[in-house]
Amino acid sequence: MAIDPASSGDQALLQVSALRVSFATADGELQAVRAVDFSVRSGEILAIVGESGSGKTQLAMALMGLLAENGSASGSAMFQGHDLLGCGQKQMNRLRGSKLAMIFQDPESTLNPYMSIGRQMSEVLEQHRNMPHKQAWLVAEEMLHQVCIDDAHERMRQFPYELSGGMLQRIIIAMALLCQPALLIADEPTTALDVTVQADINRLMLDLRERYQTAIILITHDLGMVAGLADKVLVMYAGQTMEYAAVADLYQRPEHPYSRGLLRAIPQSFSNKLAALQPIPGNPPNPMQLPSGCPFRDRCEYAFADCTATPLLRPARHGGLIACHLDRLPE
Amino acid sequence: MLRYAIERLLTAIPTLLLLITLAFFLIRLAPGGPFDSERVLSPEIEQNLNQLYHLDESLPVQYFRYMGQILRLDFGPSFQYRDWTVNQLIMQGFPVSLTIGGFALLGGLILGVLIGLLAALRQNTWPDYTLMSLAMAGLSIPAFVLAPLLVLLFAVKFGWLPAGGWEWHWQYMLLPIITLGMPLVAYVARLTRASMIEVMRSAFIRTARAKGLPMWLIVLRHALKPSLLPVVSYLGPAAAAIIAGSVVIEKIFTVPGLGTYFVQGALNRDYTLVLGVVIFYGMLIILFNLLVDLLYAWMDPQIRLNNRIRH
Repeated sequence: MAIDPASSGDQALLQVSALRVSFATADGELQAVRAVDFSVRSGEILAIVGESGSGKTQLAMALMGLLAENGSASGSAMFQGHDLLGCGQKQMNRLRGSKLAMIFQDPESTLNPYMSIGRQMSEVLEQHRNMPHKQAWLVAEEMLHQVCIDDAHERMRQFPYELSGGMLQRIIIAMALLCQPALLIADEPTTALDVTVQADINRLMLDLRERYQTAIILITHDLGMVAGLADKVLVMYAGQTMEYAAVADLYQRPEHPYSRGLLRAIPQSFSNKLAALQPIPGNPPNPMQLPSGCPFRDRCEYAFADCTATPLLRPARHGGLIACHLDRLPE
Repeated sequence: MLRYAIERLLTAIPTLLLLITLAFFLIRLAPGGPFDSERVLSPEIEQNLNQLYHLDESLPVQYFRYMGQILRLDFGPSFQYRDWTVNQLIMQGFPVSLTIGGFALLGGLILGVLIGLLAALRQNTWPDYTLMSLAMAGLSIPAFVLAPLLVLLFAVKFGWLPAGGWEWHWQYMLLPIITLGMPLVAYVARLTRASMIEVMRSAFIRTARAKGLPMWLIVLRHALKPSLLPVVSYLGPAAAAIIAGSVVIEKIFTVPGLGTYFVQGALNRDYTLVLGVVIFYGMLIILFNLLVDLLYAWMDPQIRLNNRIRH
């Protein structure tokens, strides 16, 4: 797989270059995302993985034009001929909900508690497809069938608090897919759900990718979930790319100490050895006071003198990219 | 929904009973009586009067007699306005009070909500700061200060409006309505602004934005209803405040409304008139609160459906 974002520019559905996100706070500028590049092709699933505070959610918010008022994004994100970071509200509103959709972490608070499910779904079609209300309602109901919701007819008239979290997330996914978007951004779509429901939702996303060729950016802190879903993985730490590789490569031979740390921190249900679980010691750095050089060096067991200089993203052995001074990650 | 309404009406009965009882005994605790005046009445006349109005009976007997009357919605004769029944006085004064109070409530509500929305959507800009400073001022200036100021300005200095009195003409209504409605505008504006800002920050508004809906549609369709809920629940207290305020304001502007009758009745120890107005307003507030609760339930599906499940 040509993983280098620069080389896949032509066919890329989304081409993100030098994306930076920063927030003006009372204590100064907070840099949440610092020069991240990646690309997503049609039908591809890219996982963006990192601990909380790594900037992965803000990256998604920047792409959707949903940054908080004190936030700003620079760089470019070309999507179907439009720069998502600079195309203005009007164009953004034409893309969002239509070509570009997002689902959020907590399904219970994502939907409007004062509106019926049907109204919230049908308004998307009314807005982007100019459908009359009745027709939009029927199409929305059909979409609920598509995501395997029983009694769709009844559900359309219900209100969010009458339904379970898993059911709501299915509805939210159905809502996001109403206009068959080319790209779906899913921000921790299963974090708030039961484990059994998580598997359902993951299967649903794979299924929908097959059916509609929707590209998905999957944002998660759970590398375990990524394995079964994604085609490639972007590992973020302190707002920067640490490693960017095809999913099989990253799992079999991670080249960045942080990626390997994340992999070792996944609980393995089949190997009864709890000892095998190795958490990464320490906490991510305060984004207001990032250390110079490699941001991971304080927690890295292989840190050496070179790490005080910022590592540049370079080609890795597995064909992806890596930001680390280590020539080869020791076993 | 109907059952909910009936339930609420039934629970209002003990409230009303308590109100009547308290009012009945409190007004009789006040020193003096209805027929005390500078002209001393001969004992025979006074006794006749007391007999006529049943004031010679023991207090419990009077109380139950009065309760019996109330059940027939008969507030009895006024002690002071001879030849008038309290019912007639209420019919006389209430339309005036209703006009002023109704316009103050409605106008205050509409204006307050509009100002609050404007301030919320322009949060932390100069229109927001200006409007909220004005609202703060509107809340802090008491009616007995605002009323003379308005009179001084619009009646005395410019001569555009009458200083007081009453005709069924907007010129006579304007100043009382403004004085009465001002604190309401201010309070509702602050309430609306705060809740609108909170709602606009919620996750479901982010979802609406992610759907590509234009901002005006998000505000109208998604944000307006939840941000109005606190205003709706304030309507009950607001109506009570309007009624309480009208007592003062009708006196200041010499408007012949229920408030004026009430004050006059209290000064004259006109027991039946005072009781009549208190009970009438009490019923009105209870009824209004019921309507507000129904409106709230209608707006908030969670309450509406909980009731459906419960019954």
